[in-house]
Amino acid sequence: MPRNPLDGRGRLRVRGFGSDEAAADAPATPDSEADADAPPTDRVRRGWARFRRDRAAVAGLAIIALMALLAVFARPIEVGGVVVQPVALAPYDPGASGVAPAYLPPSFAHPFGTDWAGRDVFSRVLYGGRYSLSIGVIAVGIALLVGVPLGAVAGYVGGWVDETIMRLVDVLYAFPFLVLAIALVAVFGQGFWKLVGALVAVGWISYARLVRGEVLSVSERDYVLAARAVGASDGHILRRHVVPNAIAPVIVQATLNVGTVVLSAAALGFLGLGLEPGTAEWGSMLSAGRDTLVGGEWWVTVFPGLAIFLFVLSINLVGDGVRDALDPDADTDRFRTREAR
Amino acid sequence: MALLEVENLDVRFYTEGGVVQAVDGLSYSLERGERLGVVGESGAGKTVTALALLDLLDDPGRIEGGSIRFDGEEVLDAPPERLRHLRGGEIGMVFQDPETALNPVYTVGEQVAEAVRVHTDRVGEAAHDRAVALLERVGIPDPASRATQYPHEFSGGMAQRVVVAMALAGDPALLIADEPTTGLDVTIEAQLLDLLDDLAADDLAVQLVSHDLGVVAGFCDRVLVMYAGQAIERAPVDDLFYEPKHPYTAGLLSAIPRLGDDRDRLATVPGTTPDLASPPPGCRFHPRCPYAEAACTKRDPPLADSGDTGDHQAACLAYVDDADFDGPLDFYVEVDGEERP
Repeated sequence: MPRNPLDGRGRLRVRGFGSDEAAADAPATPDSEADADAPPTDRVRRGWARFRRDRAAVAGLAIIALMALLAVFARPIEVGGVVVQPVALAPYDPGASGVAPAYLPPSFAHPFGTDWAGRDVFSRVLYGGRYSLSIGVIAVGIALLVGVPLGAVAGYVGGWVDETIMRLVDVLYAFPFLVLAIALVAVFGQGFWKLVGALVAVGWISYARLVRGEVLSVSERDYVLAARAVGASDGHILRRHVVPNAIAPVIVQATLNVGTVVLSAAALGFLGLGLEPGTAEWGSMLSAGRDTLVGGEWWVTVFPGLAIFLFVLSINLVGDGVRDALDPDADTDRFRTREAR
Repeated sequence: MALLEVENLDVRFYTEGGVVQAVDGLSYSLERGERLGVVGESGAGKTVTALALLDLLDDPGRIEGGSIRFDGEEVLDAPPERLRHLRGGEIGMVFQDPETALNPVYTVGEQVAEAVRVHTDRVGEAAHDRAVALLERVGIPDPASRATQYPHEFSGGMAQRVVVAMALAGDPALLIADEPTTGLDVTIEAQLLDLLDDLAADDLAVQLVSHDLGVVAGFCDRVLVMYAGQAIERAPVDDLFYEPKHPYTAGLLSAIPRLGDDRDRLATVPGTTPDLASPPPGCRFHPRCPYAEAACTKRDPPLADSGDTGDHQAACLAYVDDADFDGPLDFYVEVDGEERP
């Protein structure tokens, strides 16, 4: 009896066109040359290749890198009495008053002029990058560390865990971002870490909400079911399969948010709620110099303002570049399209 | 003792449209090394049954009753640790769409190695080597370099081989293949069935879920026909195709197009599968059955011996002794160019 009962039932049969056995036993051949030619590549490298093509984003990244370098090398850095970074690009101590008469206009000795206390504005703007940049990066980083796990767990576990976390997010969302930050600073007081804490407390909610939504959709994918079917644990699946596939929009959001956070820190500084008065933070410098606009000493406010403007603009350019680089639809995958070059 | 024994399995989905009885009192068993085909229309409960075997059903689906014994051990009571070992370690699963069953952010080698790590003591290099060996086992040419590539660099057929390799990582005794060839063209399908055939030769039991009767005919030892969540016919493969006992099976067989057919239209089984939230009373097939009588609307026939020699059962009142069913089922299978006794 034939193995396949239907074999005997067909009335037309092509004979002599190769034997069935030969066709069946033919070894599997590699599928296509395209597969073999494609170099091994991964998401990060592909993303970077796309990012590099975006000139505005690259320019933004260069400006940010330059500002970061200037901030780092503005004054020597000491750790526990040991000088780890001896370079001092800033000609004067940013905190030292009376290095020159007050309100000197920009000159060769003082490129950005001096402020009411006779402090060198150029040195202060360079040094102030340390505060603004580190506040932006640290506050966003901590907010990610809080928001991403909470959002991921909420989306993956669901049920009352989801309800609890997301209702908390909803409550926090009901407050305007800056008002809540102001309230927190007003309650807990001023200082670098308290400012960062306030910005984290209001910043993590957007990541949590974003990650949760992505996780909900990624959890439905077949590869998550496949991972469960090979016996992987839930924690493992969440860490290894769900979050990596849900993280791209969060990275974009976080990059753009660095600018927002720097602006917020500056706004808090301007309102006198940021760091201690007199600190060379850009927002505080604007605040301290706001009376001078009337008097015509424009350099006291324009240069810190320009620094904020330049940094936030650059961050936004980079954020747009990152979004385009990570967006799978923006520039369709060269492995799948005929237009592949 | 059979490798897998399913008894009175009852799966319900609690949806807004009502309670859907996706699997209703399903019983079957599977011996070591046996190949069972599960066929039926879309919505017959084939995939739900497959998922239930590993307790992989998600809300709103729930297993409401019955028992699933693997090697004598109850799956439904198994603690989570044991269940995770069963998944992949004892029962491997191959999914319908290989492109979505692989995680796009990891190399295929890494994904197979992950399954290896879950089920063996191998870590690091050893797990990777085992993954490459598995990829070679499933017929992927040049497995060492293919292992470093990403899923999007694989064609459908090759990706499905990777999914099979993942399922084999824990050295299971049973492979559940849920429509493994549906998305593949016929030549790749033939290659993949060859691979499964080859694997099944090593004492691996296979439960092949399919709606393709041709695939089932060529591959399986026994066949289970499902309709509306119930098993309606169970037979060795040759008996089923040469002497179908249930009108539904006969309808399915008559709907297969053949070369040289002189029919103007393909025969179909009239009507559609019933809404499982409110199945018809009596025999679930009676609204579509050309042989239905009054008794069919009242009594749901159990799987009964169909009077055939051997292990051939059908759920039709025609085979229930005390049923009030008169008409004979006068369909038969005509075999051209071959006389059968």
